[in-house]
Amino acid sequence: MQDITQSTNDILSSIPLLKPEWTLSLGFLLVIICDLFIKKSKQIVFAVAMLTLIISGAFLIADLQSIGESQIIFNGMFRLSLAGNYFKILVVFGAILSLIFFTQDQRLSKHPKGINDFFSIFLASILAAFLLISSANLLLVFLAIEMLSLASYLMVSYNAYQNKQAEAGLKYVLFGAVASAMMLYGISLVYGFTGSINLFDGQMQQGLSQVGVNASTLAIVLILSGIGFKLSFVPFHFWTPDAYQEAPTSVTSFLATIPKIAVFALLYFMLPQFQGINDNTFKSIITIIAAASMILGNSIAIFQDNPKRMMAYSSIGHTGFILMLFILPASLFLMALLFYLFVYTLMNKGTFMAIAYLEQKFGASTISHYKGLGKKVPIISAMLVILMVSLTGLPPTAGFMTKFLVFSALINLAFADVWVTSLLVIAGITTVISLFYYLKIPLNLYFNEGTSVFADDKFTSYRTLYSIIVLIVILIIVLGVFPFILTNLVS
Amino acid sequence: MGILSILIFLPLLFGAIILMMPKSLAAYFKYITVAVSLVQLVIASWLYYQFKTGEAFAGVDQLAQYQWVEKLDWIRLNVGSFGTLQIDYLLGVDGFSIALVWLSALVMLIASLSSWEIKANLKGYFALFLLLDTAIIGVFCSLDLFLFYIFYELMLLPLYFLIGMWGGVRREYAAIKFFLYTLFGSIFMLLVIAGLYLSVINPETGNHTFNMVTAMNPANYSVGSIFSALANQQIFGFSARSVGFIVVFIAFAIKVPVFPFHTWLPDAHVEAPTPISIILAGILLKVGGYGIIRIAYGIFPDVAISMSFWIGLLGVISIIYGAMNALAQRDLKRLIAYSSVSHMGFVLLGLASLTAEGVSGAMMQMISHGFLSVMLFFIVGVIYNRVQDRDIYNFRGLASKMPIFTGFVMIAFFASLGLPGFSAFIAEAFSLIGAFSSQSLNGLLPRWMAMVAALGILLGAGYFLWTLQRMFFGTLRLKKDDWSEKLKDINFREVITLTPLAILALVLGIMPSIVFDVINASVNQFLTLFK
Repeated sequence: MQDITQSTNDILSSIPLLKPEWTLSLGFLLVIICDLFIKKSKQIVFAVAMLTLIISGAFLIADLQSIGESQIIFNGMFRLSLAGNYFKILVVFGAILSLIFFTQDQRLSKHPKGINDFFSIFLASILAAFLLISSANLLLVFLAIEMLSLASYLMVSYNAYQNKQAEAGLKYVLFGAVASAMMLYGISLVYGFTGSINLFDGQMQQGLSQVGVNASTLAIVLILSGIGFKLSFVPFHFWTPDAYQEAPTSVTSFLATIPKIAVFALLYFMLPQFQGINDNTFKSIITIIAAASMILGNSIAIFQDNPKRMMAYSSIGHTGFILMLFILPASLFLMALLFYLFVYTLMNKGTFMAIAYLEQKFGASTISHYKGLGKKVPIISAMLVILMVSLTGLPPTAGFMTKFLVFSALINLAFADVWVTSLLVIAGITTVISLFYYLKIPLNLYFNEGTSVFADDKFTSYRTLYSIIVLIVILIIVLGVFPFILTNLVS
Repeated sequence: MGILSILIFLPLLFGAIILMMPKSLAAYFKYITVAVSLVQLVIASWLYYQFKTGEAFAGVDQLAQYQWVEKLDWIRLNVGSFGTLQIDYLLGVDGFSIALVWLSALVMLIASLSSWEIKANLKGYFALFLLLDTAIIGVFCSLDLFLFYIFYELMLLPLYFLIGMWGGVRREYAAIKFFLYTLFGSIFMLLVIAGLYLSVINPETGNHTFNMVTAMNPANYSVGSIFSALANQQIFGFSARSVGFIVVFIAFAIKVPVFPFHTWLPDAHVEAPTPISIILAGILLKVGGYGIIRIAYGIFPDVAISMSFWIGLLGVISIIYGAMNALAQRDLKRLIAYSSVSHMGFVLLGLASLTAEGVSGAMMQMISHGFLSVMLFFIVGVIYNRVQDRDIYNFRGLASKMPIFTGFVMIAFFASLGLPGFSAFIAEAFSLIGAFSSQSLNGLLPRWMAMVAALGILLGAGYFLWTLQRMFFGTLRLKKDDWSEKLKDINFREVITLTPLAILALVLGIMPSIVFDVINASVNQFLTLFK
């Protein structure tokens, strides 16, 4: 136990190391102040938020050189590491894209009180993501997950004036509250079993091994419930379709990417502790969850007519696919995980932007309404085709590269373990199934003639959305053919 | 920039150009496509003419003996788990590939000439067509498994759109069925490719490699790896090498197509527009055969030998089943689709025999069926374009109305059923000789397989001649009266398309050495893998 002098010194020396987090906190406060005291502050607030993100990103990139080993700071609460920085840079990248998307989303921008408060909540959620990625203590984990969840609840229900929207938001809140409570119970069990809530001092692994298989499995499963809720893997996925469908499209694209990056990072850092327990019961748990998520996500998506709901189930399927990597020891799959999360962010943002474009410009809110739109917007339709192909995982797109990296990482274990082989077979079959529902969008865009008249909103140009979608697709194809451009940036 | 890269990427370049041209120039798209295909055919013909034959240039498992090899370092990806992922851009041709490359160039030219009938959405059609062209030639030239897989999958997407947007009544169903079916086969092949990567080591650099040719040599497999012959690993209780062979074989068997994986073919061929049916039947089926030879048999020869009986059996069943189904059809296009299933069964039978005659016959059948099926589908297209109907019983005595057309139909039908003097006879004869002598040469296939397969030729004569008699001979009787004016005899463009095919069928039937000389060394080298 440190005395007060040591802890204070520790805190004071740690403060300058958290420049990105301080930037975000400052930005959060500035946004609130600007909104309160400046009239017609929409542009200023957007500029402040964007600057905040860019500056914190710059700090992160600058820190890449100076971080050597991982260090524990703030009295064992935080852990700074190179891998953590990469995850945070991914979050910032996704956040910048999200921020631009928020301004283009009509449902948000039509809100009578403006969305400046929304920006502040958004910045808080990014701060929560940063805290989650660098947490070294289970209490901080809980705090960060709660902060991220609260911000997400608010963002999802921000503009919920209709019954279904409010219902979806409420489902999300209630489900999240229960999941958080279960997670807290799991954390308290871990403290009870091991006497420590520190993730990186090795006591957790030791203590849980001593307690026996049943108790440690219970503790792990309870903690996984909180993690699973944010990642939306089975069986904690029930909120996902409704929340994704009813939230504003830009918020959906945020939900599908940034919390996932943060929580996958957390799971990645917690992995060495979990895997050492009791000859790896964690591996069986993850195998079952991954298989169930892939099967459920990809099968139910077939029956969906709403594109956002379909993407919700597809994201459950993708989560299951990424979870397959967590069977391996942590040091072996960092590159595959980072690459997958980056490409997944790109694909998801691009798809949701295209869905928002079609929804806002043509009032086409279901896939059946897309019929015949292929002729009206040939370029966006072509972009959507490439995005769907990438989500399925066909060459020559980046989505194929990521799937291949995951397969390669796992194939080595295939002959040693019948579970891994079955998991790979399930992954293959669900990829084929996913092709069917992903291709429903191009099918309706191109193959069928539209019978409905489209409300062509000629007043707003949506040029920003259009150009970002095209840029994303170009990046996806380039990364598909030359993936080393990205991976050589990471050592 | 090697000649093979130019051959592969030329259509992609012009496809991009077509995408950027304005809609007002839509009339020129078809000329550009025909010009590009013509240039490809000229290059391919020059390559075929310059191809060096002889034992020193056999290829197959000797990389140094491949011709026009291009090797570039493409992807070097550090992925932590097994060091650096190394993928090369490796192209090269040997006897097996050069013949198929030439066939692809010819079929794409015919298809582009046939594409003049497409009236709607020309920009999208020709851009997708040229993308498909790139992918097909790339499949035949690539010697790196990863590159092969990329080109193989790249073929599927343009075909989905080409069938689904410009096809017949049930085009969406046919397109998605084709895509799902083929993807199902190839996704498991991806797993096997990943496994092969981890098992095969390049002897010069000591790194893992995707090089197909390196994978053919059992000495290159690292000790204890998943597909090493010595380590004898097991997956799900079966030998890993057997599982690998079966997975890869099924992936390509779906494409060939082999009974019972053939159910996508009638739908896809019938619902596709004529030029796409031509490409499907002319080249795509051969990709399956090529894949079986190069990858399934080349990399897993030990398993291939043990499974020969079953593969031969599948071939025989395909022959008879396809022929009997063809006999039952009313729709002319569906009849020809099933006849394709039947004829590709000969390819499988010849391959399974693992004799020089059998494998040569299989290759010859692939090439011969390549242009004969093109002729047949083009013929159906001629009738369909005029009256939008393909039912055999709606036509009678067309010979009196369209005499020149009937002449070409007769050549096509007689050639397809295996009349001596045409290429299909050589192909089927050699396949059957190989299958028949297999029992005494290597003991792999029993004699009765060849005897039953010969019945398939009889059935082929049955449905082709019966169709000829039903539709073309006798007095003229059509379902609707206004068809009489619509059924004009074939025009100049159609004659230009059909004549070279007929001449080729005849020339190859009289001088099969044009093909056999080129593939002979490769076939012999291929068979040394199975000693």
